[in-house]
Amino acid sequence: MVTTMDQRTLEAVIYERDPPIARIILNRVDKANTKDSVLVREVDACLHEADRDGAIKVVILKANGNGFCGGHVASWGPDEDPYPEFGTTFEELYKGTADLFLWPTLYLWEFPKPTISQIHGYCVGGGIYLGLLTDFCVASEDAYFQMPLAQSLGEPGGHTMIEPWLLMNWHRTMDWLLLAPTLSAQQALEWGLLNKVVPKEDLEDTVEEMARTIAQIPLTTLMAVKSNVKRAWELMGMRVHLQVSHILTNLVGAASDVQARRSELKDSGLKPRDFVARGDHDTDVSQAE
Amino acid sequence: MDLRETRERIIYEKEGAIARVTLNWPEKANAQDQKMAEEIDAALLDADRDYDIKVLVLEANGKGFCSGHAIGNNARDYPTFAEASSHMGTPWKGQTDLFVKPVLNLWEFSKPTIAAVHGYCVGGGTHYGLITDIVIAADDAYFQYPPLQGFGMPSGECSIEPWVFMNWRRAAYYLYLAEVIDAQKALAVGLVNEVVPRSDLHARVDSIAHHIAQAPLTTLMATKANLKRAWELMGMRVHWQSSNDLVALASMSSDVQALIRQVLEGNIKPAEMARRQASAADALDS
Repeated sequence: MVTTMDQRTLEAVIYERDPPIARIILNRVDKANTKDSVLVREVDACLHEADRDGAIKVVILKANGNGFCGGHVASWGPDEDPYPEFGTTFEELYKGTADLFLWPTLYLWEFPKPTISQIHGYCVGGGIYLGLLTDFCVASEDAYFQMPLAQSLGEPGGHTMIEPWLLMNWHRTMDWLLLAPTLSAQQALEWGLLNKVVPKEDLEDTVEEMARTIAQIPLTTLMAVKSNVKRAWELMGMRVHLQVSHILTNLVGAASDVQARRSELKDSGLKPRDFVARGDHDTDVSQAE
Repeated sequence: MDLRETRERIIYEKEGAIARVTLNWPEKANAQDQKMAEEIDAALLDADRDYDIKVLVLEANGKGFCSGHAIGNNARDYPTFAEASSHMGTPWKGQTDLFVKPVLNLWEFSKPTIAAVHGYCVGGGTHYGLITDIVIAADDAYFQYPPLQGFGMPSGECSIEPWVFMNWRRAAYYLYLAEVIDAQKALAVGLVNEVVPRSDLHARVDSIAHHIAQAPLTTLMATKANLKRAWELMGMRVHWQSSNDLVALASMSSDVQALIRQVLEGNIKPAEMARRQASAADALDS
C-alpha cells in the first residue's frame, strides 16, 4: 500500500496524516502552546478527522517549542480574547467552559483509537489534559508536570478533575492538587503517570516505534481493546465525575474568596506557576522554567 | 424512655418503639427555615442512637405537611446562608449543611421511616414528605415542586425526582410544568403507599409503625441498609450531592437571578409565580 504523508499547518497546530499514524503537533511556540480557544478547537477537529479516517490507527499528540503545553491562558491583555466562548455572563461562562474544557477533554479521553502523547519540557495546568489523558504517555527526561491552579487561581483544577483517575491514589491526588509539586519525568514515572522516560534525543524514535508496533494490530482489535478499557473507567464513574467537576469549577469561580485569590494573582503579574513558587525556595521549582 | 417535648419548630415524641417528629410551625405553613431543619436533624440523631426506637414517623400539625423553604429573608430564616455568603460569596456550604446532609440523614436513617402527609407537601417539603421509606397520604394531600417555574431552581438541593418517580418522563413533566400531583395520582404513579381519609391518617400511620416495630431491630436495620445500598449503587447518593452544586450554580446565573428578583420584589410566592406562568401559557393557547 502506497501512502503519502499529508501535512497541514493550521493556526495553532500541525496535522500530519501519515497512515496508519496521525500526528497532532501543538505549534504555537511563542505562546508556550497554551490552550486558547483556537488550539482547543483545532486539536478537537484533528481528532475527529483522525477518527473518521479509516486509514488511521494511532494518533500521536506532540508539540513544537520549548515544552509540550503551558496550560490554559491565565491572563491576557485588553485587546486579546483567547476565549470568545466565555461570553460576559456567568451562564455563558458555564456553557463556554464546557464547550472548550469539558467536551473536548472527554472526547480525547474516549477517542476510539489508541493515542500516544510525546511530552518534552513543561506539561502544566490544563496542559495535563492533553499530555496525560492519552492511552500512552512517553516523556523525555526534561519533561515536568504541575497543576498550580488551586494555589494560584483558587480553582480545584482545570474543569475536569482527572487526577483521582490518573493517580488512582487518594494521598497523591491531594498532594498534587493542593501542594502543587513539580514532578520531574522520573517522579511522574514513579507515580504511574507515564509509560516511559527516555533521553530527549530518543523521544521521537521511541514514540514512533511504539506507534508502528501498535499499528500492526487490526483496527477493530485496537478499538475493541480501547473501548473495553474505557468502559471499565466509566463503570467506576469517571465520565460522570468529570462532568460534575466542571460544575464545581464554575461554582468555585464565582465564590468571593476564590475571586479574591484570582485578583491577587492578577495583581502580582506572575504566571500561576511562578505565583505558587513565590517566596518558595524548593529546588524542584526553582530549577524549572 | 418515653418523651414528649415541644420545641420551637417541632414536637418530638418517643413512645415505646416509635419516635414521632411532628412539624409544628403551622402559622408559617411548616416552612423549612434553618431552625426547622436543625431541629428535625437533631431529633433524627437522637432517635437513631436510642435502642428502644425501631420506627420513625414524620408528620405535621396545621393545614398541610410542609410548604418548603422560607423565601425572602435569608438573614432571618437562614443565618447560615448569610454566614456562608459573607465568607465565600455564595450560600453553597450553608445549603449543604441544611439541605443536603440532613436530607441524606433522613434518607439513610438507620431504621424504617414513615411520612404521614396531609395538605400541601411542596418545594423542599417534598424532601421530607417523599423520601421516607413509606409514605401515607391523606386524601387532601398534594405534591408539587414550584421552584423551577417559580424561582429558577433546577431542582432542590437534593434532586429527588429521578429517584422517587423512577420514570424519566414523569420526573421531567413534574419539574418543568410544576405539576400538582394530588393524592390519587401520587398513589397511581407510586409516590405514596396508601391514601386514607384525612381523619384516619394519624391512626393508620400509627398502626403501620406498630406493625413494623414487631420485627427485631437488627432485621429492620438490615432490611433498610440493603434497600439503601441498592439505590446508592445506582448512584443516588452522589447525584443528590452534585445536584446541590447545580442549585448553587443556577443561583449565580443572571437569568435565574432576574426571576428571583421578580419574585421577591413582587412579593410573589414561587408557587404563585409558577401558577401565573402556567396561566400565561394557557392564554397563548386560546
